[in-house]
Amino acid sequence: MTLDKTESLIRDAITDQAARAVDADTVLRELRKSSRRTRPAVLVFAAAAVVIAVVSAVVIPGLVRGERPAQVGTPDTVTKIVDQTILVMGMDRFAHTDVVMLVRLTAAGLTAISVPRDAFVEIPGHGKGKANSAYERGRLAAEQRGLDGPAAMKAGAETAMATFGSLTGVPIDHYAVIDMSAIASLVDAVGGVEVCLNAATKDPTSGANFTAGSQTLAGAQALAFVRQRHHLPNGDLDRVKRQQALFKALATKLGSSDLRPFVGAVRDHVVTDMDLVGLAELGSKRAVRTGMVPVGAEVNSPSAGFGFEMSAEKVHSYVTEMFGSGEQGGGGDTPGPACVD
Amino acid sequence: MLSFDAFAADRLARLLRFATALTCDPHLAQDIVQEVMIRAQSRWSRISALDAPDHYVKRMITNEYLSWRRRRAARDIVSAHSTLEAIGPPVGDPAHQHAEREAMRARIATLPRKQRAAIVLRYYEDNTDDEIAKVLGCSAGTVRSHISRALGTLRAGASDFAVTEAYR
Repeated sequence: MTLDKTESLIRDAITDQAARAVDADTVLRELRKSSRRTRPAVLVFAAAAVVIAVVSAVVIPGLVRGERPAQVGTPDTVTKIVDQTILVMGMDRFAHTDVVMLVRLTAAGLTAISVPRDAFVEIPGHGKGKANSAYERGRLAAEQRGLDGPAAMKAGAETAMATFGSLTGVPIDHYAVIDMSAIASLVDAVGGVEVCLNAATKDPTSGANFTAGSQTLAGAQALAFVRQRHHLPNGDLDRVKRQQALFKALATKLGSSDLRPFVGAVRDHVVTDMDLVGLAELGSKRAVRTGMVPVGAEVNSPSAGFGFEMSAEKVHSYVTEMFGSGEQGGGGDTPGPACVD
Repeated sequence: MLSFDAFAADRLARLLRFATALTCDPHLAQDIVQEVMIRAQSRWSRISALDAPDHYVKRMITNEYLSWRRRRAARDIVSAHSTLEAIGPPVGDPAHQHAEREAMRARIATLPRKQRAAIVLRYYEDNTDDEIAKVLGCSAGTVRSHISRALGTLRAGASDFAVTEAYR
């Protein structure tokens, strides 16, 4: 390619610009760290998913009776979800379901069991893969078969249902896919949430900039609050605590808010095969407990990257125990607000 | 098959420079590259099976940049203006050349995103129209039109700069 004077100047200018790149070693270290961590904000989305499930179950029927929430699937059946297992997935903007939860509503309350996104699982028809890819693999395969948007999404959800049904040994009855970007609007919809920080902290990467002590976070701040992974004393451990703090804050706020805006925010971000109008009978069931399936050894395969081996036996017995033990505690959230780092 | 770690160790510096050239913002470039690399890692079995994994990752970076939030883009233009204003009067030939390059760098930062991406792929990555078309997901004709518009803008700016310099 022969360049004229301006083109040479352009090339030089771009080269100058490129030379301003940050140091690769720094980024490499970040990458190595993040590959061993949960992706930012995963847990809180899990938390939000539970809250959404509860609110869907408890509130939507009262508010939108006769009006149908966004859904794909079987819109005309009234779904009874007591003693049914629902797969709740939180999807990021790259169609990874970084939140995967099996939720079971019983007369006693709601139990939600998470599957970590990095769990290596058998995806029927697609071989082994990470938990967060089951939905998208099924969806893409359906698209290639010529199915359109909603039908392909439904197929993706069904692939995920088969995947996690076989992983946990529990047949899955329904699904709900939630767009995780909804978190900020959810927090805004309840008028912000209260959290407490041990120390002031600032982090340009996540946009976090918080003072010490109790404070109310608006939606965008709440996102930064759970995304911050730099400048924390214990890195990921602190982030997990923050996610739990936000979950509790949301749950507390929900108990005392006008739920209408929240329901509005939820409705546009859920794709489900459930007819939420049928859930009114769940009225006052609010007890929520959460847990995570046991994971095996960390593996770092060249082909699939970092992940966890899963023991079907251990997962099955854990899930049976959690879903079976009904009203007993164990793995539930401890009450009371606490300051986090 | 190349492991992800080996790929990252080998290519990360180059990808960061590419992203910095695209975004005209080293920190935004870092965010984008980090985000893309994390995603690439989770799909590495598929990406590494491709003929040119680095092309694919470059494409992911370009797409990420093109779809980056509007809010961020506004910053580019601000920095471009401040760079323009920061340029002092020329005192000698090397300084003049430097100022000329700086002015060009600032003008490139004001180009619309797709035009800027096309220019960077052409003049920094030495890609052909067809290769650029693949990365940007458009036709080679569209690529030529992006580049010719961008060149038009940049040439006009360059002659303005020369005129201003001549009358200093």
